[in-house]
Amino acid sequence: MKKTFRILAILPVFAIFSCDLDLYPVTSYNEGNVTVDESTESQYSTREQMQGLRDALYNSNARDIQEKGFLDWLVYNECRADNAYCGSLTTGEIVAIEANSQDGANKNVDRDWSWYLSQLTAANQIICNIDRVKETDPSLTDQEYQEWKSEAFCWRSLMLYQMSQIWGAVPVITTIPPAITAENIEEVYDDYYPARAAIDDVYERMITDLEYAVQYAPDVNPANKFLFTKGFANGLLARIYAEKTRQDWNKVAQYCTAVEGMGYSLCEHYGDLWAYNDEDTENRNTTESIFEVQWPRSSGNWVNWMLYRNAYDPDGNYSWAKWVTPSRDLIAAYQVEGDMERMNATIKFDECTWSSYYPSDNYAFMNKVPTGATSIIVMRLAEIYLLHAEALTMTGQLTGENGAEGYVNRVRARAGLDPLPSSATQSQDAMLDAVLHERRLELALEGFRFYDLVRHGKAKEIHDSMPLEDPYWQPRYPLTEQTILMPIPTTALEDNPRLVQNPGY
Amino acid sequence: MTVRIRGASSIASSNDPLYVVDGVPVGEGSYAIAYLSPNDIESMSILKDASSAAIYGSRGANGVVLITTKQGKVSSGPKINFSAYCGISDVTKTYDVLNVDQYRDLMNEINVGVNLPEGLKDETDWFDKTYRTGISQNYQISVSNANDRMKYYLGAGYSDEQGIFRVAYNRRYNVKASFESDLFKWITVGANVAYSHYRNNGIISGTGSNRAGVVLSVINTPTYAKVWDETNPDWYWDDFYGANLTTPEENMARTENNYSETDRLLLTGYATIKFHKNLNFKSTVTMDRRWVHSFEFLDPIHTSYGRSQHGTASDTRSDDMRMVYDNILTYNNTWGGKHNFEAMGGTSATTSKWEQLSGSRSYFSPDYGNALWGLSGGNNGGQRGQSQGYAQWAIMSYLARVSYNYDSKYYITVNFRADGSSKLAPGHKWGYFPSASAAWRLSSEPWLKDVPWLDDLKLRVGWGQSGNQSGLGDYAWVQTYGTNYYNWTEEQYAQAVPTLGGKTNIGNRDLTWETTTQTNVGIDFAVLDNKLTFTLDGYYKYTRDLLMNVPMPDPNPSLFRNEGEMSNWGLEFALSSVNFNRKGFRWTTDFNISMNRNRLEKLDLQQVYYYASTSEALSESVVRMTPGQPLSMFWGYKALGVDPETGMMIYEDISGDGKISDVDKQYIGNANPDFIFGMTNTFSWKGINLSFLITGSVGNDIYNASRIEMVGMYTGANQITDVLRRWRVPGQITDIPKAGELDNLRASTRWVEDGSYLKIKNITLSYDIVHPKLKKANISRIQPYITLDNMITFTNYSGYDPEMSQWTNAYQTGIDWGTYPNIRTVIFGVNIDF
Repeated sequence: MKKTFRILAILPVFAIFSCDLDLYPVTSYNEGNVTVDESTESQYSTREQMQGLRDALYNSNARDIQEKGFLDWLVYNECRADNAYCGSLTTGEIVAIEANSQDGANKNVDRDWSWYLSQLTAANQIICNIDRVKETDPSLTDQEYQEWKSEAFCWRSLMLYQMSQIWGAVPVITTIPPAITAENIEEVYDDYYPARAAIDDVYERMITDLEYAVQYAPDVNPANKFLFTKGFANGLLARIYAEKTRQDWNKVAQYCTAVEGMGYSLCEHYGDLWAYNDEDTENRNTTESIFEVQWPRSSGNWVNWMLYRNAYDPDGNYSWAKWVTPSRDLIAAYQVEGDMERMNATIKFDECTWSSYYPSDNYAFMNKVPTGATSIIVMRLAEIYLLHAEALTMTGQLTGENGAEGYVNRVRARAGLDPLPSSATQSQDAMLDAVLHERRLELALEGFRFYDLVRHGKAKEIHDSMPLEDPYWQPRYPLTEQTILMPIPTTALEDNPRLVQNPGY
Repeated sequence: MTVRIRGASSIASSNDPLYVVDGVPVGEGSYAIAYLSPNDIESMSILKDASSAAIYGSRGANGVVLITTKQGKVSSGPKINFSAYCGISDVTKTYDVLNVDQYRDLMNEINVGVNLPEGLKDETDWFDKTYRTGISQNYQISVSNANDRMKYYLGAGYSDEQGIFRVAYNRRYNVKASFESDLFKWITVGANVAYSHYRNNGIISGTGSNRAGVVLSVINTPTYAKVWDETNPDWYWDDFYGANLTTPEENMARTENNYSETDRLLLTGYATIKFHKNLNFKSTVTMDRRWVHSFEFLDPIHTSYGRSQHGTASDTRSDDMRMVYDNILTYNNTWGGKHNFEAMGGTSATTSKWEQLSGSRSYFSPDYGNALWGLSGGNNGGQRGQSQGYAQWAIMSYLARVSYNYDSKYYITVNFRADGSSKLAPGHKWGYFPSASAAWRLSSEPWLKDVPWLDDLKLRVGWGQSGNQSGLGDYAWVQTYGTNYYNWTEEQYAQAVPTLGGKTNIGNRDLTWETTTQTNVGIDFAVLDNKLTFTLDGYYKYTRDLLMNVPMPDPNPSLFRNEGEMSNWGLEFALSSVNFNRKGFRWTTDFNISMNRNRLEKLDLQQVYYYASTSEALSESVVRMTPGQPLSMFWGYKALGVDPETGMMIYEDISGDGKISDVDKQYIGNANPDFIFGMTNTFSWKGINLSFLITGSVGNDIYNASRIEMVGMYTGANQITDVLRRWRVPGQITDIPKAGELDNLRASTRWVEDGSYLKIKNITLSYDIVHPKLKKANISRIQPYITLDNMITFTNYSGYDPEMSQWTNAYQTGIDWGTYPNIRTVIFGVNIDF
């Protein structure tokens, strides 16, 4: 009896241990520590959260443009035409783009597709939630509501614009899909596996969004050009209406005029647009800039060392061949024109340890991102002037101060060049050539050339002829209607059976 | 090293078996038993079928390796054992690379922007410079004793292994103590303590030489390069005239200051209470704690990466604590001398808590030879240079087992388990897994009892279910959101606080157990006085609710989902025989051969997955996974040879459209072997023992991605002498195509090789010295031995070793991609028993 007692007395010590199986993370936000609205499944409910998302639109998303939205965009525009060689012969994906031999496995095409789509989602965090937050949190003012929504529209439209230039019809993502459960998998399938919208619908979406932004975006602020403003919204609409899908030259001219009336003015010298001194860049918030992406000196961009070198850290990362190497054709074009001011700002000659395209003691580099602190200017007044000139040319107004000639000459005067000769105004074709030529020299290596030529049907002639004149170009497959567009990445097609590849790939 | 029992039945979860040491589960994967010294191991056995592994629950879903360590044994007096060995290791293979003239020739043929000046000479043999003979040493001592009321075991040891690269090493100290005592007649208590401290470092592998992969850079660095730069003697040689390369010395220097130190403490305490001679209760509490400290430092001068980052340092310390609480009640009884019955029931709870803190800095001063150690020497702490991690998980289980046998002739066992895991969604956390097995000892039946040559014939059958969820993230079902941080160095954000971001995953409220159902049939045969024994097993495993991380189309994040079904079936045969045992000479053989066939049966949302993108030249994925195929199938073009007219590779155009593109790809190889086998032969005669182990694998294919970097000829990298055969003039017939064409490097059968091999893996010769004079000095035996490890390999594989694989997950095995090569070792050792 005693023994049993002793035995039983020890039992409680070995009580069956049971542990808690309801565990949530503590080092990240999650449904366990954040209030989630049941009906919309949205985690946002306050003005502060909307402001955080809006700040992130600039600090994270816009700054992220440097690799996929800028560097890769340059490869599509400059290296597919006559302005630049791809630059690095061992980087298969850009060699293929220069040679027009790209396929669905191309690494650049793959990473750009993923990035552009993720930017649509980033903008949607604001667009899809701000209406509800306006109701739940009265501290969100009307002005903030309108401005932040417009800024998100501007970013989404810029992304859709670039996407549609590259691939044509693309998925237009405008919602944040709800959680997948066994019950709702049929309904939400289309949201998770989006199909490509017709190109016309893509344009419709951009135009609708930008028309809102034109009214409600922040006003132009001379002290801060890292801001989506009414000026930017108008300028982007001008670009959109110039493209073939919704081509309307009157609207282009109308929107250009709107931008021009907002207080921008050309910089005194072309070189000011990328100037820097020993301490910091001097190209922040120039009078000419309509939208630029800015970096502080302390944490600057890194794309500068994919193109040339960082003047503030000259030896860092200067040991491999750089991308977007200016072509002999571009250098010759500047020289024939006598256009030294623009050539010196665009192209820099320097010593290096490779000689893929030029002798290593006098190698040519793209010079529009000379430091890590340099702002990347996405839209500036000179581009709008020349777009205006293009529109006026296509509607027949070739001459005079307010004709195509006048706008071109304003840009030429700033570059220290004589006005256009009279031969340029003889016919629409001559004027168009002059405008496109001016756009080429003014906007060289900024991401405009190839699609300028495409919308006037001149891309094939220039694209195919380059390797015949200059052996440093990759031998090119002839440009066709189908290969003007890039292929949809194979990985995207594999992940999403609803996507259809572009014809020709 | 990968251990796989009966094929892979999981994709997201690990396929590693559970290691159980002295009844305590210590984890899966190689870290689990890294603390153990082989000297402390008494025996090892493997539980393969569902019924026997049932007791270990979900963590044993991939099989269980039972290890028993040495405890004290009842004998005359204390036993002391001392053993030591010293080993010499070397890399198994070398390659001939192009000399400077041949390299110049190649660079002139391909246009990759490399312009070599005149007058370069062969300066360095990179194989000699990089690989060295690794020396390893190991010393172990142990003391044990037992009497009828108490037994104890104490062991300690030290081991130091140098790798074949100068920066790779592994050092370990270990201490083990175990103790058990019958306190009173009705209670036994015991405790085990195992502590080990180990420190190691490795090299950058699994990548090409342009990203500092050491193994490939040995071949890709041209011979004109020296170790140190001529203009800057503190820098490693970095002038390659346009090629993007770094020397193997520089690549090793990238990790030479790094190390990882682990302290592992395993404490177990248990008490067994005998209520009654048939009823006892055992309660065990185990603490398994690992402190890991990893340190990295890259100086700002010697390497080009170090110069571009201005030196970096980082330090991470983590603390991983697991507690296991087991309470088991057992009843057993015998009736009428023939009926044996046992029933067992209980609970098992495991909790895990992991915490981590890390910091990093950059911008180091080179003055005084980097005198300031660690983070103290760095000026730039980054925007958020410190980070902290914390994660928990828990598993709760209830288990019951009933087993009965009649006269050791008829056996039956039934198990039932209920397991709950915190990683699974609410309402789906619990899984219920029954299993049963039965056996019939035919040889005890009256009609077989008197057959003289038949000793044992047993027929076994089993069926069971087990659950698995170990590959899931700790909070796999939870919907998580990102955090927006601000750059506080910008004036406008000096007062900013973080805000809530968008979805970083897709949560899953239906996430539940992955269940494998296994059926097993086996025969055990013993004949000729137990001199010859066979066992033959056949099994079929079917896995439902396969857990996978499913990627969604851009821009959606991925989610964990019960996504598919997979099957495995196979046959295993093992034979053990005492061939000869007379006049002091004994020869025994153990042989086993097995085959496994694996197939993915079904997938739900996404039907095709691609894995393993290897080459830097063209980033194609070489593994394609889809229902109807096994895992680790290679996907690419079929290469038909080199076109004598153009020198380009000809690929099969299946679609017939005249172009070679994605539609022309097909399955080109299978990393899974047709069958594997092993054989051990042991000879002993008057104290001399000789044993050798042969292992082999037949039918496994290997995707030799490393070879792309050795004969690809698409950058400024140096190549092996095979490229001297390359095509140069029309009409030339050869197997190496034209240089400088990326098109010749597509994922194709050109890189798929037969990895079948037969290895004489281990040869050990030992001699027991037993002498009366030694006995006087209390030494019962001195046994010197010599072992040759991984010495001889018969294979057609052209890479370093057909047994290596860069990745160990089941869905991308069989790929050689700059992986640390296997080594050959010669070991001299001695065991002394007192």
